[in-house]
Amino acid sequence: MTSTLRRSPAYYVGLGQKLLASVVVGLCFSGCGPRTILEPFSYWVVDDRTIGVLVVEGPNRECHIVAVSETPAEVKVSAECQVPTFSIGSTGAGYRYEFEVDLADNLGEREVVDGAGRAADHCTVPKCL
Amino acid sequence: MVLRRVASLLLAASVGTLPSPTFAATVNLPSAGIERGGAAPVATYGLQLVKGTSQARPTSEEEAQAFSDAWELAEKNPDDFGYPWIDPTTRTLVLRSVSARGAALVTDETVAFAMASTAIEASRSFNDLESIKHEAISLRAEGIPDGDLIFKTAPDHEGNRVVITVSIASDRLFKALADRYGTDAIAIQIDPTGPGGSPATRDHDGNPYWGGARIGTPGKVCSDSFPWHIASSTGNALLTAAHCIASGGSVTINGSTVGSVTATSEENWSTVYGSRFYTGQTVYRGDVALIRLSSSFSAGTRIYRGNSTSSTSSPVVLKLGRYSQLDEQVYVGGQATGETGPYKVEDTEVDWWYSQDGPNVIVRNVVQASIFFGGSFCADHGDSGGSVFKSQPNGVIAYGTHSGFQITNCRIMYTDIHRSYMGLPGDVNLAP
Repeated sequence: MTSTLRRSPAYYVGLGQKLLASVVVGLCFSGCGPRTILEPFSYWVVDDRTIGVLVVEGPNRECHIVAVSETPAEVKVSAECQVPTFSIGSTGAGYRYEFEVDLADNLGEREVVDGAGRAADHCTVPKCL
Repeated sequence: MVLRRVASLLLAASVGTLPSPTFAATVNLPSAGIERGGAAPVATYGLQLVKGTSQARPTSEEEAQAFSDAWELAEKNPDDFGYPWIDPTTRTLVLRSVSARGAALVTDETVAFAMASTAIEASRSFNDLESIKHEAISLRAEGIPDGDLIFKTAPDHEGNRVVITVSIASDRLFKALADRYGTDAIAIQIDPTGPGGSPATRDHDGNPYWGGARIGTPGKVCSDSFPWHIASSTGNALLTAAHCIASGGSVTINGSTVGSVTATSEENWSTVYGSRFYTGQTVYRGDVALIRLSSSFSAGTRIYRGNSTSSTSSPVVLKLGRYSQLDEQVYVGGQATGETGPYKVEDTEVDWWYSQDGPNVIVRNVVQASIFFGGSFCADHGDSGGSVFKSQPNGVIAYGTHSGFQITNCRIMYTDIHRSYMGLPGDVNLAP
């Protein structure tokens, strides 16, 4: 007596899902580390040649000012943070990452923009508190 | 059962809906809306908008003495005279008699002034007008809609009326004022430099404070969710997420230290373990802290709507009187992303691991909801503590306080408002 092993369609769908999940997990282990993004920010004026920069991000981030460039019309500050590519969950609190940026010339009436060219939020109170 | 409860909620909401107004002036004001900054078109209900009072301006000591004497005469005979005035063209002191006795008094030879005078008849007495002036400044205590926007009242000598100054245009307030005082005895001045006026926005809020705005806590930037009142008929507190201020401390809004959170008893968060009990309680109530405002600050009855820099708002007309249920749709209003949603409730009474915050940080007994097709941007860092609400024609229903998210799936967690008013002193400060 012989028997033929038959699988239902649901078995193959489930098998496909498991394979796909394994590929995703494998890829993440090999290349899904934190990614670096250009951050928008707020700023306040410390003095004529210094601005304070406030980046609001999640907990335990690596954030840096990576470039500052100036023209007669604008001051461009590029702030970057490393953020997780995948997240199981996080509180929605904004953690403060503060920097002071020295300028070559007086800020004057120049516009302050972020690394993506977006106008930065100008806080009228120190540290934007 | 759920449907019946939702139906009863909607019915209750509809009872509070204002009747359709009959606009006597410019219209196009958004439903139930007011705008900080005063730029929006205004429904005035027949009330005149003025730039300020028109008061007598004496040009000599004689005129100053004459006007002072006329004012004193009206004060001593408040049912016989209206406000006096100096006509700037003819330089004549104008006396307004509102009774036969008043008319007789101005012809009395014993009443003399140091400048030329004339008498006219008027309908509103000094007593009537001063009563309006002294009453209108305190209308907030009577629960008049948006009565907290009134910050000054003053006599208008030329118009023989009272000018009521507000920081923001509000159609609900104007209607209430017109119904109460009529359209001749008062005029309205909008002065956005007053309390609660411009430049208050979601990211730079002003007193009285609204929900959905930026707050500063030690080391963090968050949002507040709803105005709150404790042992008072007026707003004196705000809600936010407990993880925003897990050890208690001071809260700042737009540069001012406005109040504080009492550790443990009025916040329920551990930075190591997440949700914990409020002091003396045995039920996890999500992630909410109570900000008690200092006596010089107050909470309004509104939340911000729109984007992260918006000045528009809606009144909080109801709180959800039960826990959130599956498939309900809510919006989140936070200072980082502004208004996002709709989010659809997927699970209730959820415990969730906030892995980014630590290996043991668990939020307990919260509602999980996700953006579904047609949604806008997701909530982000800085939106914590923000308003979770449902919109309806005459305002919003308070649903909860935003806690956290799984941003890769545009999924949020929030604490039911029902848990907050059961676990904390006080209640949502609803609009009258």
